[in-house]
Amino acid sequence: MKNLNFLNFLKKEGNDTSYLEILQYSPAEISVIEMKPGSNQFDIIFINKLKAKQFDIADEGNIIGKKCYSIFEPNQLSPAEDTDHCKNCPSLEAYSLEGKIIHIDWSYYNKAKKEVRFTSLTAQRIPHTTKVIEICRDSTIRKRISDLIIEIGGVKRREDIDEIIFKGFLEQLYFERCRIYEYSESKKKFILKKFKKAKRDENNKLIGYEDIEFNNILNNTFPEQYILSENTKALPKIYVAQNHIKPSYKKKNYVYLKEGEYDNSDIYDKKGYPIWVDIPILSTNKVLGKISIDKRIDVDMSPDLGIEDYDIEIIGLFAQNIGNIIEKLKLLNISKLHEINEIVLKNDKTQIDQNLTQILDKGCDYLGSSNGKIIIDMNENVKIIEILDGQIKPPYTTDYSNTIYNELKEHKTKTHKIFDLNSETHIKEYSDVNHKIGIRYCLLNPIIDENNNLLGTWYQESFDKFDDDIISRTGMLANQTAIAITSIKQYLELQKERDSAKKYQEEAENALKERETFFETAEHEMMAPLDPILHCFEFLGKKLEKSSDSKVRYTIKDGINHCHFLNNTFYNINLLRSNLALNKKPISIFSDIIIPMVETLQDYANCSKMEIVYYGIKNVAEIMMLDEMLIKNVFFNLIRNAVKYSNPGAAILIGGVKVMDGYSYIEVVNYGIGIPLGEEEDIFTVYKRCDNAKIMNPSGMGIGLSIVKRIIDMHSGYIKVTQNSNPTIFELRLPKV
Amino acid sequence: MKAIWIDDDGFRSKSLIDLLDLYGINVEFCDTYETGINKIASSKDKIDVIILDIMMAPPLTSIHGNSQKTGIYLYNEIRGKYNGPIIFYSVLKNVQAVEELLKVDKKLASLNKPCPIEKIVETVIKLKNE
Repeated sequence: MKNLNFLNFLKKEGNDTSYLEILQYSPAEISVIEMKPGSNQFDIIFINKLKAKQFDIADEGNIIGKKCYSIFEPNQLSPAEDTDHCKNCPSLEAYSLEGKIIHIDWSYYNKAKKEVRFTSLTAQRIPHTTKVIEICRDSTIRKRISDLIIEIGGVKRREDIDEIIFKGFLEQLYFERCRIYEYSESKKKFILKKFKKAKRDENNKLIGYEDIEFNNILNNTFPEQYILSENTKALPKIYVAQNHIKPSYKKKNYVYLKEGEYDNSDIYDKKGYPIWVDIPILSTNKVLGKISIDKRIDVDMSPDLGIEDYDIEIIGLFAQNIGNIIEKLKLLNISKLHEINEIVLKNDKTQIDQNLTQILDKGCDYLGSSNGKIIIDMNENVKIIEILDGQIKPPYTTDYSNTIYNELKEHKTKTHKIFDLNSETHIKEYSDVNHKIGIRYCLLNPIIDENNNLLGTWYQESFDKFDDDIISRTGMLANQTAIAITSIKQYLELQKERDSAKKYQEEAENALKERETFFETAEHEMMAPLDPILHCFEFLGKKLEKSSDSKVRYTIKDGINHCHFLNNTFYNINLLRSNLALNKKPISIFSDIIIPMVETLQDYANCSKMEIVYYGIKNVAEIMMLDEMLIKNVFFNLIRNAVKYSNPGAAILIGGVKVMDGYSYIEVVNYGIGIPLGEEEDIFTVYKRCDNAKIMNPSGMGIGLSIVKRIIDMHSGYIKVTQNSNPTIFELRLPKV
Repeated sequence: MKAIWIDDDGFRSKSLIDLLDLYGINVEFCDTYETGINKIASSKDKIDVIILDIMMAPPLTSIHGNSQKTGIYLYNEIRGKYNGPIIFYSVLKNVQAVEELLKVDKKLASLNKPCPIEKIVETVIKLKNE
């Protein structure tokens, strides 16, 4: 066999060899051929590249091997490329006919039998051609199913599994119809969930799928023994209509059904599809469902499905992977909920706006899970929202939604409740949708926030009774949902408060700006004329300094002092609303500040028969680094207060006390009304006035001493007030530098 | 001594002009940016001090148009041609741009209205002796 030139063998004129002979010469896992009866044409040979070496086929680069394989992979290359390939093939003469490769130089037509069927056991039928093309198993079925197994491992949604199943069997493995069932433990039946048919164009090329209407009838008459049972093994089971095949094609592993056992059944609808396969979907310990696939078959042709025993093993493995992934996806709801929590935690405004704001604004009345999605029914008759992608997708009729809603309204409790939807109470509403697909039980788990408010209900439905694990998991989901909804509400409330606070802040800032503008304008308008008034008095003072009329001289001086007094008062207000900046320079505190200030205010004090006395000039540092304007204001405020709050005849003393640790100590002493006990520190608070001060002088504002403290603090100094019954002593400590 | 005072408020300046005259300072008053610049450029006598308002109408050809800083721009224009004492005399206190200039210009001072005449004269003399 090793030296056999297989191509030459096939080309041998008048070859009248039997199918088994052909098979014998066939290089094992390769292809051969199929020919229509009466035709002198047949389709391409295809040979495994590795095996080819054993058969002395030298020119493998052109007609065999990987390149050939890819050329004949359906739906991948254009006819032109196919033609090019064949033109370059020295061993074959080929032309393209509507995209199909026909090799006319092989005439293996059995005249005696008037048919040729050179189909090896390894053949794979490709439906879009009427011919059979053999393709290498290692590169086709197994590879395709392996790809599907990899693909199914990555799915995240139950619906995606179904899509891969349809794609696998209808597109990749060329079956014509595919059903997906779920197994109901309570009914001990497979309940049909989805049913699709391959949609093909006029050239029999797959262009999509179409849904097939179906009904589940519980008490069907299909023989029980032909249905996969709970104890089924992972391997698919192949059913064949007995009258469609010749006895010689029978295989022992197939189940052969007699007429009446299949094609009279409307339920299973096998008319025209005499061969089908049931593939169990198994998890580690139980049957979850099954896949049923079938295809049409011509009576004259081989009854096989293009799959062999060892193909069946890998299809079984595929189904088992499906089972495992379905089990895994039972946790899908938890991950979805985490996504909601993440949305909340991220404070992603867009997501919240799209999905949640709307829900919470209108009130969350019902929240549930269906097929791995989270949906919220916003009130009795309003839409259901699929929360994660924002699409509005009502899965149930309004009646059904209302029924569920009413149930939970009546069921305001902290614990879960399970409804048997097949009971008489529920059968009417339930029949709308769920009855068709066999769902029987509904689990409602209330979503309760920390204040015991019922926010909604976590809802889950099942064919079977809920076990403790599911109930516990649903309870956890309900708690998580409550946290998520509460977080969203808090976030939205916080956002409202923020918006409100921002508005108030803007209003306050505007008011402050307006006030500042008013103060600036008022100050400018008042201070600008004060300057010429002062200079008018000064001009007169200069002109009349030698006047013998003391009253004239006094009046002029009085006018000047009032100007300074008014200036200092305005300066106080200015300081209160300004950010103070220190402009320090060397200053003699007595000669530059205290003495001029005493002179300014002496007449003011004299009017109340008071005298301002200063002393101890040499007890303090001769020069200190101070802001002249600000320190002037300090003594203006302290002396003016002393005058305002002293009784006539009292003395006001300003004295240098000592220098210690680099600080000069200065005291301002008055024999006034004093400060009520316990309020000594309060007097430095802005707008704070003691009761006795208000009685004695109602017109004050309570800003002078707060400014004094602020200025002293800015100089890194210190001020305190002490009272020993009488007098009141303000002690200032100012640094030399 | 001769002084040039540039301030757009002539009405409130008369008393100080008369007063400064009593202290021996002869003031030529200009009430616009342009007249001030021209007066300084055309003055044949030595100018002992220039007094500038800060907030005043900007010059007609100005590109800045900020009346709050007209005095600053005026100062910058004058300082290029005149090295003598300059005093900002304004109601405005703690103007940041003025504070910055005071740090680098020893012949510059700033006084706030109202200011006693002694302080003004003392400042002029001090700057002249710098």
